[in-house]
Amino acid sequence: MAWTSPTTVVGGDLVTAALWNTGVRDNLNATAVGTASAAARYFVASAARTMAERVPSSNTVATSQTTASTTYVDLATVGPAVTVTTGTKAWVTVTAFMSNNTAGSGCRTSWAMSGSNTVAANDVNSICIESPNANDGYRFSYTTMHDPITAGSTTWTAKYRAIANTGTFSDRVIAVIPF
Amino acid sequence: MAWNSPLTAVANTTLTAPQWNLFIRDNLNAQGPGVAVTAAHWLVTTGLNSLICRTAFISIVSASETTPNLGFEDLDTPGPSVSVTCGDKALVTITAQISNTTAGSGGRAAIDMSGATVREAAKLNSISARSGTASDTFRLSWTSLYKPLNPGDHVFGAKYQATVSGTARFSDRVIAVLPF
Repeated sequence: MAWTSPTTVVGGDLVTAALWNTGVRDNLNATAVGTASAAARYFVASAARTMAERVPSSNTVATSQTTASTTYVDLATVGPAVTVTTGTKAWVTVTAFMSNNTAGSGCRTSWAMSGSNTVAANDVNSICIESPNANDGYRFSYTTMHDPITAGSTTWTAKYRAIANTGTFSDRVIAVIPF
Repeated sequence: MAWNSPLTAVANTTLTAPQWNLFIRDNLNAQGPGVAVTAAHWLVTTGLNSLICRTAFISIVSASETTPNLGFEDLDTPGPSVSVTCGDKALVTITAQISNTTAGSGGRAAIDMSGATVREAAKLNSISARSGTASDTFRLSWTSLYKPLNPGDHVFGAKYQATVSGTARFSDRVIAVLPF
């Protein structure tokens, strides 16, 4: 329901049915309360005087799997992945437990975007370990904000690579807070 | 204040006081300014046509303490811990500095959730570090969106364990929660 700037009335004006329907009914229906459709969502501005409801999302793949690829790939169990409707900003977090079988080596977990935005996995949007000891293991997160992105439906899919030798990844999580 | 679908006016009908109170007063009171009670809160939905204020919480325990146990437990100073009223989602972060006295061993700090939803400390809800060099120290965070939750009051606490062997040390421990 579109918002219309409320009429300024003066003494003696008659509030007509049309004025009520546009200025009161339609404007109330355009508010956050008028738009709210389900629990645990929040509102952002999607344009001037326009509210949109947003839904944060996350997904998890616990499976421990490996890759020796030094370019970003899927593991045997693809993901995790989430598909989210966003405006021009989104807050993204990726998490994994990582280790490498060779001293002096390491690995990275990143994400690729598809749908309204196409972005390949890259080292800037990644978590990374690189250790002088074989099989050192760490679990932690990287959080960033995409700004700007194209508004619409975008899928974030976790991707993985070894720096050298074989990386192992488990307890993998991706979460997106859309704006 | 409950929302009422606004009246569709018909030409030449009178707007009554009850109609004003229902469709103007009550509907305006259901809006953000009508619901907002405290600064630094934000508005989230609780269902169809319904808003509530939420705010973020943080708790910090700086104490540097140890455990040799391989199962999750409290440290001498339990926590940190935050009590939060949530809808069915919450963004949760845990941070700690971790080390272990034994090469090849490590430590893990996990979120332990109780209340309206119970989700015990586990690898999937944790940060961890395991190094081939004794006493290597790491300060790490883990952030994720907890969903679905049963709407209501929750306590987000922290539990700790050593991994492999040795004695794990934890300090500068932080939990932060943004409820939806």
